[in-house]
Amino acid sequence: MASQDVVVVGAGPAGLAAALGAAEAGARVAVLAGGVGTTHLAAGTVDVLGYWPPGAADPVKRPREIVARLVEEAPGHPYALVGVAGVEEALNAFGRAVAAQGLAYEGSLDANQMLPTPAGALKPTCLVPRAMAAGAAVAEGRTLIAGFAGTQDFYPGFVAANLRAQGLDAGHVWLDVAAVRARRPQTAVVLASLLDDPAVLNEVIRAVRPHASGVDRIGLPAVLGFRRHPEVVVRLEEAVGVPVFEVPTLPPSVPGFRLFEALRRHLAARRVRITIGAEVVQAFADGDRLVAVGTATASRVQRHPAAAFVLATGGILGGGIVTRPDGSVAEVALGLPVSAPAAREGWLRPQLMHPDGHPIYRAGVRVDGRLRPVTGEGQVVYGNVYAAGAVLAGTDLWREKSHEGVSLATGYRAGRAAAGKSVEPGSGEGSRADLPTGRGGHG
Amino acid sequence: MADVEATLDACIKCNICTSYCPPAQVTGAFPGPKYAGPQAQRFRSPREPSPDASVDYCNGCRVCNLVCPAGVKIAELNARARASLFRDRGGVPLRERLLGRAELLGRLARPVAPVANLLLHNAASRWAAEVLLGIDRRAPLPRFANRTFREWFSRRGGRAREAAGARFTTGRRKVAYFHGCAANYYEPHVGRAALAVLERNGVEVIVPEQVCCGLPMLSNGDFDPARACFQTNLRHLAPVVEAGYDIVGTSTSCTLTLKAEARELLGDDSEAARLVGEHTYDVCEYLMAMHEAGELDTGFEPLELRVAYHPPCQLNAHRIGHPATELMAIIPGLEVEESGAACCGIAGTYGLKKEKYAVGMAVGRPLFDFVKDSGATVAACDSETCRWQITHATGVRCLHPIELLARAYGLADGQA
Ligand code: SF4
Ligand code: SF4
Repeated sequence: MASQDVVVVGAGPAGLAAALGAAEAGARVAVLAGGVGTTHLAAGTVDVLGYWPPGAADPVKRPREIVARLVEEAPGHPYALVGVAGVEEALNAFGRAVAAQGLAYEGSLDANQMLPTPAGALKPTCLVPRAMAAGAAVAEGRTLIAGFAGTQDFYPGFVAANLRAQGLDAGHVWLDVAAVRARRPQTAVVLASLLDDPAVLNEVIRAVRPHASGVDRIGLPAVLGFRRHPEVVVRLEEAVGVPVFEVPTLPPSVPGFRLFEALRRHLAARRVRITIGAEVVQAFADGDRLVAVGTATASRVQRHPAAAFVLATGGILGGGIVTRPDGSVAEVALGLPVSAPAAREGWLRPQLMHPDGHPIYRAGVRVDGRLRPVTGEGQVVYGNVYAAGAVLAGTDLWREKSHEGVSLATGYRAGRAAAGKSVEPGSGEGSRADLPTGRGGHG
Repeated sequence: MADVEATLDACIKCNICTSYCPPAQVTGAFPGPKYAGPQAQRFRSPREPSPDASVDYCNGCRVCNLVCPAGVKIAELNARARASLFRDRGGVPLRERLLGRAELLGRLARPVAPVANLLLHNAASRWAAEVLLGIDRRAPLPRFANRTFREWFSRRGGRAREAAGARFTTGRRKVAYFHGCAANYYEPHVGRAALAVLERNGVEVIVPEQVCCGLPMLSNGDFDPARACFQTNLRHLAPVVEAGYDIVGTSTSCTLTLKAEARELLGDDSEAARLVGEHTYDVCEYLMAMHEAGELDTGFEPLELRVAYHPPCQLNAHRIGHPATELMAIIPGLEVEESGAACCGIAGTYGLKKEKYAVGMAVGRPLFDFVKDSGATVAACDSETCRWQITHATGVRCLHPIELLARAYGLADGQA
């Protein structure tokens, strides 16, 4: 509708980072998305690089070093296009943005943290929400995992048993909280909103407190408040007297919602217009420039002109790349060329958990050094279109555990480039880490 | 147009819809879109009774459709399921049939508006309506205007008129105004404001024959009379579109129904429905398109006012962004704060029903808090029932954005 400099297509981590990068560079930005993105399905952590090479047995300990190695070893990988400094620059911008909205993240490229998953496995991740941070210490002392009786989707005994199987000291308890038991439907978001209510929180505190003696920390499902989350965690911790941490639940994930909401608020304050439910279905081009994108409305296609565009629609999981029954693989929003296995037979390897992964998950849009999509022959398709995040070819984000890192780094870079900030391929301009690494306040 | 039923196969069971669905956040009576929509749909068959009655607690806000990453048309699945639920039970209940007939009520009441208002708004009859019909005695009901919009328009001459000082006279735009029931029977001043603003911008405006858009019937599960209304409207409006007019409305629910809702729910893929759908606009959408084409007179007088604006669910379902926000931003002095809230809870007639009144008020809580905390002296919203609900819950007067535009043009309306 109203004129804008940059249109970002997609509202997952890459799209939001692109909007942030472009807005910080002074551009007027609009974000268009067919639905909400993968933020809501992921754990709410920022995974930068968990395993390298993909499928490696041991997790990455120092992502700064290993990302630098990856840049040398895998020139086609998105990290090679932005460099270590580019990754760091984006993480810093992200950290500032969410902290400004009261959602603190901790950690840096210097060290991965091992956080318990809903299955009790330990997952390497780089930046973690402050409310999950105490979970990184499960290797030391005794941990109690607590769940709410009468709810689905989180089984404390299962988490604790798997922690014990890894040689850690962990126990579990079911908390009986009448207000939680009574509530239907019990999605994680509903439970989190319930805990915003001080009366319910008091009930929870009364149920947890008797179990706090003799343990070093208590893990609870990630439903510790929604709108009043920081306050809820502080009150709970003060009342029980030991550190409390959230364990991610099955999707949809409350920490993912909080992350999305924090970025949305931050961008709205910078006059970025975010429209959810506006699916891009058409590209209006003039030679080698994209003039506008068209979204489906109730009855017509609506044109959104801009000087530059960022494509951040996600990969196969996010819906930006689709596989068709005839064996073709397509990019849905702009119809860009896709690099993918030539035929359907090449999509998957014979075993589900094959150590080399499945080629289809590496399918995506290939880009030049400035993140502009190119054809099979390496020709830039549109001079004013940039691509970022899981829609990019050349990486298997879920096996590498690099989803948010790649999304934020390429998104932020693409947003700046779209806003006219020229950046050297493979370089970053940012400073070193300035994120808090201790257990700081809530900003 | 994607077939409603076919979209359910795209569901990835992520439950994002449930996490955003406003009623599911506040009541246990509704299990949420995923269960009531794509999941329960698997068990619905034309020859068997409906498996689950909870779908009646869906308020039709379509928030689920917007957030769903897979494009499932959940709200439409639910609306159809409600209609078949009533069919199974031997017919649409009296209350639902009544609430669907805003227009019939308007026609009956109009000649005796003061009496009708008295009857409708006194404690005894509200009590009776609650006991006999299940319409909550606290719920916000509108007042009938003494003179309908159509009466006013026909007294004005019943024809398009050139406004004094209108700037564009050649190749002028042509609009057929769809007032719907609200602007005709309850809030004719909204219709007059729309006319004044369009004419001020040199648009030729006619008021075509029309009946209720049918949405109140569609959302109350009463599909047959809705189909009749839609057919009548197509008969009146398709020739008007063929003659070069665009259909412009001030009620985001009427325009949504004409654009897509009736076609999708009733499965009407006729050429007339397509033609009318493609040429229907919300009034602010239309003015914004004029602005983009450089055709909007932006000579607004300053309005020193703070406005709490709520983009209603029906507007969001148009998927056109928030044109009213952008238009109001052009008015000097006007400070607009947009609510981030999902839904006011009234959802047309949902929040009027006795068993759902409290659900509606709980759904609207974040919005009401926003309006009260904003410090704004006036609220704005594009949808009539939402305006009534906002005022009912907050005591803050709520206007249609077009009224603010009319005021900023100095087009004061002395004929309330
Ligand atoms: S959001 Fe869409 S895909 Fe997800 S569960 Fe709901 S209907 Fe299914
Ligand atoms: S239309 Fe609204 S009330 Fe109905 S299921 Fe969807 S989100 Fe819930």
